[in-house]
Amino acid sequence: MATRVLIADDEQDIKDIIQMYLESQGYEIETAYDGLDAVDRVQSWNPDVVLLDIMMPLMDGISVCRKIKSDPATKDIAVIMISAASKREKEGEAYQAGADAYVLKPFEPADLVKKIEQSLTTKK
Amino acid sequence: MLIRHRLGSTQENTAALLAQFGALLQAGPDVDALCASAVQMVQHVMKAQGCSIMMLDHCEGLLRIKASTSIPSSQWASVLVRLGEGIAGRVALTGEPLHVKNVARRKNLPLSPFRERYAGPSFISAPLLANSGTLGVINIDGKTRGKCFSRRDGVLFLGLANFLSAALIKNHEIQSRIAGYNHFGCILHSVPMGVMTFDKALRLTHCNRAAAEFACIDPEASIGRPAHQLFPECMRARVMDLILQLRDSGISSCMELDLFLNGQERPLPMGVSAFGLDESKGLSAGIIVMFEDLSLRRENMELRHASDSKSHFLSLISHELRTPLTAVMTSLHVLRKTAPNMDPNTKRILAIGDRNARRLAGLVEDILEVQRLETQDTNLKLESLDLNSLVRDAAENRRAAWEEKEIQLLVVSDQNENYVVQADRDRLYQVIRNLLDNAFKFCRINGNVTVRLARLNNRVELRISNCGPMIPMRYREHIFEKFFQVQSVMTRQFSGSGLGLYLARQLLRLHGGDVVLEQSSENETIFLVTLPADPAIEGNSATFSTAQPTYSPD
Repeated sequence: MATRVLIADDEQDIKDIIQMYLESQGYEIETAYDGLDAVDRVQSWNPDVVLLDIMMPLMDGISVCRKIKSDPATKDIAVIMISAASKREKEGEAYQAGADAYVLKPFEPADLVKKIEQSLTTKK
Repeated sequence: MLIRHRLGSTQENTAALLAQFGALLQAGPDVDALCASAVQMVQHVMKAQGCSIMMLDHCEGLLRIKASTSIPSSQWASVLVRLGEGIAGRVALTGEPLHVKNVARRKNLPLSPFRERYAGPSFISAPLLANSGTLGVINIDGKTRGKCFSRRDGVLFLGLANFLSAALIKNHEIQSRIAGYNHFGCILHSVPMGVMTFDKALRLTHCNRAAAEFACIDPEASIGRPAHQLFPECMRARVMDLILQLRDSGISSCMELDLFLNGQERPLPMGVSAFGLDESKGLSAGIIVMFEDLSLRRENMELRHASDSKSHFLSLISHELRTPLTAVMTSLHVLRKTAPNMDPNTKRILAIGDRNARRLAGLVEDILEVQRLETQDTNLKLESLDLNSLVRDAAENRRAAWEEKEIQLLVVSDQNENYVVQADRDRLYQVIRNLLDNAFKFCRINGNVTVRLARLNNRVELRISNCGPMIPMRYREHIFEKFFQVQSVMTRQFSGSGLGLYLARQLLRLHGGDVVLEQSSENETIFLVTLPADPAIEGNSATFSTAQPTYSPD
């Protein structure tokens, strides 16, 4: 069964291109357009990995991550934060919220795949 | 001036004489005049042939004549007695008086040539003592009618010497107080802050130059005038409020005024404060009012504000640039991966897009890093890093840049050596990327860029050389300044932000390393990077060496 990845980003272009790339690499993809939508999709779709943009409307990525990690039903889902903020500015906060990895924009798509696979192996 | 008493036979007489002597010595503030009258008085009272005072110069350790009744003043400058030498030098050093009744009967006395020439057969030499040490020596020589100084003479003389010491000490204190006051007054007069003092009846007691300018008054003519007559119309009411509030309720306060002085167009921002001169005495000691020109401070605040907004704007825009950049870079990457069978032209166009997107991403990172350096927001995350593999990663990442110019890139390292340093991975990568980009940019087409790694005791060296235009000697340091490029011609020929070398140096220095221009000729330009080696890892340790054999991409 293909790995299920939820992409939550309010930037439509980014979401589309990551979706296309990850689908080409054999992942199953769902998308969310803001923080609250992401929380809903996590609960209804139960993905293996969530890619969370930090700056999102309604609820920011860090809060979404905290919510996922504090719910026993979803706490095992791997969370990868994606940020346009500088690494040093938000990285600590992201890890404190329970994130499994932190990716800085702009990133190499291949690196993203590497991070996804790494976070899945540590879960198993 | 001279004491009319003859030396009486009773002790009362002596005491009265000493008291009168003491009173006379206290009269004048001038040391020379004091000593001159002292030698006259002492000679007269002691019925001596001569009396001299020598003062000790503590810096040189020399006694010099200050006053004398027997030695002509033209000779004074030539009489120098070293501390510890001669009679006077010994008395000054030990602090003990010396009384010799008959010189002829005492052998082995260290008599100076002056003494033989000017002195009589009997003498007394007494130290002039202060708490801090010896001030000098007073001597009397001979005795009229060829008599010797008796024991009683000695006691009286020591009493006189003590009075003279006390007078000299007092005089010294007064002198230094006057000097201190003058010194302080000069400083106060020239400070840019305006200072005025008032007595408790609010009459002006002091006004320095700056205060006189602020209040538009003549400082000399205004002393003694009441405060409410001193200030120009534009500030009088508010300054008086401040002063009266202090006088009536004892509350010190300050305020800012915008003054329009002498028809100037822009107001002068001024800070005024008032407080008691001596807090412990309430306001009885008077009031001090200070005026400060705040225009520089305000300008400074405005400039800082402007600089902050600029930094904020740059930081914001850099963050905003990242999101579209991600979309562009990811799109290009996906396109390349998903359409492998492109015709060569499409491939070239894609490579151009990719290369420039990366360049833009690098520039955005540089701008953000400069912002962080300027706000000192650079927390280094140190880890053990192999410089060799970092260099190779960076070279691989910039493949498009050197391949485009058909540059032969060579990374030279010793596979048995380790190049491990303690560094922040992202920052060091940025440094190497910048230095490589620099080398590629200035290297001529089909030229060579060589990166050499070397381990030297406790540091790692990295030399990046390229063949390209020579950097003139006079620019060797300037090239590491922000936004500097050697020639405007070059700026057009070689595009760049002018941040690369600046950042490289700043970041390396944060790591305890540096980068310098080691050599630049028509054929070769070499930048030398040094970094402290990771102290936890010994040199030549094969376990940490991830070096590959000499590596030449292609």
